[in-house]
Amino acid sequence: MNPRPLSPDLPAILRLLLPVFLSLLLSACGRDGPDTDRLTFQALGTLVDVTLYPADTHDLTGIESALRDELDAMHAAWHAWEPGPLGRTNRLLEQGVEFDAPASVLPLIERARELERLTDGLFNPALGRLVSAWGFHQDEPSGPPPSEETLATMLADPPRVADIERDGMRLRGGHPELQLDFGGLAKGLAVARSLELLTELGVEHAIVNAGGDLMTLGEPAGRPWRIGLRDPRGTGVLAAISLGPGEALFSSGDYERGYEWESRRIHHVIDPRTGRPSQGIASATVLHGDPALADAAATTLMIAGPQQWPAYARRLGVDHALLVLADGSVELTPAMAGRVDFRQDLDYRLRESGPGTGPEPR
Amino acid sequence: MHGLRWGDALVVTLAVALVGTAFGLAYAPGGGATELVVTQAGAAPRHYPLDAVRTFGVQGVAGVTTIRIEPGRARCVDSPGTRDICERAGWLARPGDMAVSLPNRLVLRVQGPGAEFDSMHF
Repeated sequence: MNPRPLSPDLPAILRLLLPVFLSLLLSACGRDGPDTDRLTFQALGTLVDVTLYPADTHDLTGIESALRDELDAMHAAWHAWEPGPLGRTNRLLEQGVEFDAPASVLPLIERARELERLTDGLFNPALGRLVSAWGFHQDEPSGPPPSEETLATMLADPPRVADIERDGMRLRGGHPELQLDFGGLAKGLAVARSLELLTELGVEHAIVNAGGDLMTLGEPAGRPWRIGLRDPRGTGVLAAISLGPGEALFSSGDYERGYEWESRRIHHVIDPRTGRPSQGIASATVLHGDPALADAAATTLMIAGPQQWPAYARRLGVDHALLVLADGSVELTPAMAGRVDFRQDLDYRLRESGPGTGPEPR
Repeated sequence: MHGLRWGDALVVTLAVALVGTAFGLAYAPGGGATELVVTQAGAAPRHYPLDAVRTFGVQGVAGVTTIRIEPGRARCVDSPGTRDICERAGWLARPGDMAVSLPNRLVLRVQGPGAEFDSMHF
C-alpha cells in the first residue's frame, strides 16, 4: 500500500503552522543555558564585569586581554596618587610653570572644566589635596581626618579647574594648591572607551560594568538588558531596571570608599562647600546616555543634598535620577519612576528635576 | 480532497503539546541556581556545584573570604572589609545573584537556567 501524501489531506492553515511548530520546537531545544557570556577581571582598581550577547559567539580571551590592556593604560594615565601622566601634570600645575599637556589627560581637564562650570563648582576635581587630607589618596583609605584648622586653611581660597590656564596644548596652573583628582569622572570615560573598543572588536551587544557602574552597547534580540539595582543599605535587590542601547547607569554612594573614625563613617565624596564628606544622601543613581556625565552627575547630586539635588539635576540635563536618603527613604524623578520596578516595599517620593529650593542656573 | 482525519488531528495535537511543553520547560522563570562560580583577579574561574552543605575559604589579597554552600544556594559568610558588602548580599539563590568582595578582588555568582539580571548595578 502506498503511503498517502500528507499535505493534500491537511487544511491549508495546518500546512502553514506545522513548519512554525517545528521551528519553535528546535529553538526551545537549543536553549539550555544563559544567552549571554560573562567576563570578570580586575582593572581600574575595581572589578570589571562584561556581559556579551549572544553566548558562545565571541573570542572571550581576546576581548578580555584587549579590554584589560586598554583599562590598565587609562588607569595608569589617570591615577590620582601613583606616578604617571596625571601625577606629572599635578606637579607642574603646582609649580605654576607652563608645560605641554599630556594627550591622555587633556580631555579630562576640558570635560572637568565644563562640568565644574555647569555645577557652579559643586563638582570640583581640582580639590585633590582636600581629598588626600581626608586619607583617600591611598589604596586602603584611613584617618585621621584633617583638623579644623587644616580645613579652614584649605577652604579659604580653594582651587578650581577654571584656575588652569590653557593656550592650545600648553597649560599653566594658576593656583598653588591645585591638584587634580578625576575620581568622579574617569570611570565614566573609561567605560565609554571600553564600549568603543568592543565595537572595534566586532561586538554588537554588551554591557561593561566597572565596579557596579555600567553602560550598554546594543541590546539582546527581542528583549532589553535587565539590570538589578543592589540595595545600598540592606541586602538583595532594591529595584530592577530595563536598559536599551547606549544607556549608562552610574551611582555615587557613601558605602563605596571609606573608613571608620571614632565611631563615625568617613566616606570619600567630599562637599567642596564644607570640605567634609557630604551628608543627607546615601547614594545617588543617574541614568543617562553620556557615561561621563552620569558619573559626574551622580557625585554632584549626592553632594547637593536632599534639598538641592533637583536643581543640579536640571542644570546637568539629568531626567532620570534615584536617590537613597540617609534615613533610607527614596526620592526619584518621574522619568526614573517610569523605568524602575521596585522589589521592596519602601517609602519613596517623586520629585521633578527643576529649580526646587536650590540655586538657579547662572 | 479528503478532510482532516483522526490520525492527522492526533499528530497535530501531539505536536502542539510537545512544543508547548518544551517552551514551558525552557523559558519558565525562576529556575534554581545549580552552580557557584568564584572569579578572582588573576585566576581562572572556579566552579562549585550547589548540591551539598560545605564551608570553605578562598585566600585573597586582603585575607580569607569564607563561603558557605547549601543545596541550591551559596553565600559569603565572612570577608575582609569594614562595610560587610560581601556578607550583606545574603544568600545567592537565583541564577545571576552575585556577591562581591572588592578588598579580595573576588566575585561570587550563582548560575543556572533563567537568570533574572544581565548585570548588577551597585
